[in-house]
Amino acid sequence: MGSDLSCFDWSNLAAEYLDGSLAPGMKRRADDHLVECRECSERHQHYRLILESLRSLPRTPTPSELQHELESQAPRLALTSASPLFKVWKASLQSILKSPRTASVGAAIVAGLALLGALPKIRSFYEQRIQQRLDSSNFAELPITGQTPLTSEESIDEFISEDVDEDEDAGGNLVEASLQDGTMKKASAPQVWRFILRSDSPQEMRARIHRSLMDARALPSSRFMNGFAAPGGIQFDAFVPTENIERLREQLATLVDQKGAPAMSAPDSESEGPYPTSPFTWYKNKSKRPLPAGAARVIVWISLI
Amino acid sequence: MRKIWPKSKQKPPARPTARRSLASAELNRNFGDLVYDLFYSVLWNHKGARALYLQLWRQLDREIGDGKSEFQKHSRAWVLQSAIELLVRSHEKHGRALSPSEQVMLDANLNIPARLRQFDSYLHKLNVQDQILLLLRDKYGLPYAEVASSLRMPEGSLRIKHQQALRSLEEWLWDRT
Repeated sequence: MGSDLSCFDWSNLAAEYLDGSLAPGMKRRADDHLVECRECSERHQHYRLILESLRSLPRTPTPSELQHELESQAPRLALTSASPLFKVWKASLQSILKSPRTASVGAAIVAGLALLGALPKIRSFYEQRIQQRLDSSNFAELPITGQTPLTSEESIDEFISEDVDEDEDAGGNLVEASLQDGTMKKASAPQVWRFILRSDSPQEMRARIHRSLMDARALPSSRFMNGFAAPGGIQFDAFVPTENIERLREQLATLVDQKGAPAMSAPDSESEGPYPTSPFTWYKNKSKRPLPAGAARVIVWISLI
Repeated sequence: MRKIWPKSKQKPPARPTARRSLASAELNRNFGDLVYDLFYSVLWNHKGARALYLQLWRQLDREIGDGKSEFQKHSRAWVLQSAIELLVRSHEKHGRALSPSEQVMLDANLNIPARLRQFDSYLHKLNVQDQILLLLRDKYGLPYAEVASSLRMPEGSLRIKHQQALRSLEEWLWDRT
């Protein structure tokens, strides 16, 4: 009876044939093929020799001194056992690292937290950039009637943030200027004077304040002598000779009085909060920025009542 | 009524048990020789086999302490998995390959019985995974399923690799190139 197995088929079955794990029918067909095919028969004999050689390879027992060494290590292993907390930590770390999906999710969470932590720095960097852009612009050439509404980033807060309160620099070269009985001494450091006016018609007061600044001989290099409309009011920003500031303050106070508002507030900056309620408030800061010699920076803010 | 034991009859505090558990000692007793022989057969080097053997049991001690299940504690395949991982890693660094002169000597020998006497040299021409496969399957007689589990591969692939390894050996020994 001829075999229907090819040499390729037999080579695929050779391992199972050698194991004796072939089904009886299949084994008979493989036997028939080996009887007919000399090459496969030879190969079969070679495989048997190889397997015999493998089985007869010498076995090396564990050296007895190695066994003793291992057993002598047992107490040392006991002492170096990890704490349960460390085991939990290690197991969780291993499980995270074993799964690429979990590891990527973990990495994303860590990156997100890092970004969240860096947000304030990114924001301050962004604000600095805007401030630099503002500084490089020449706002002094704006027409008097032109209103240049600012964006929210360019609000008054940016100008305020550049200044330092006198209280913060108590140990250093402070501004020596202060008001004593309505007179002002000469300042040795750049100053920023802030006048805050509240009016029911800021646009009406705008031209008057501009005139007051002109009367006080504001320097032509001033940035917002015409005033600019910002959300919530109008702001003026000018450099005024320090000797004229007292006069300017009186004029501004008069402007508020003419409008029939209550009397002006006390010149105590500490008594006022960031949003004063009296119609006329003023206070003085030290400026970080260099100012023209003999001049102080004056910021006038008119807000709608 | 609460009975108060005299101090002398109170139980002494339990002594701390050794870190090396009974399971670990039993594994070592059952499979220690097999593992050492496997290491030595592949590495051809007692020093390397000793170092690897100690490293393996330290690692198994730790894993048993980390709460492996009872089945895993007593599974030969589990021990072999760890052993093979270590062995493959160590073989990449310290494994001994045949030198060119040894290779020439092997090829120059045309006498088949003499070649068979140098069978272990031919065995070391195989890659490390095939060596381990042949040793586990044919020298120690482990079933295919257990060898497949130890080598972390499907049983079908293992059978094919086994067949290929035998064929390679046959070609080298009988010059069937």
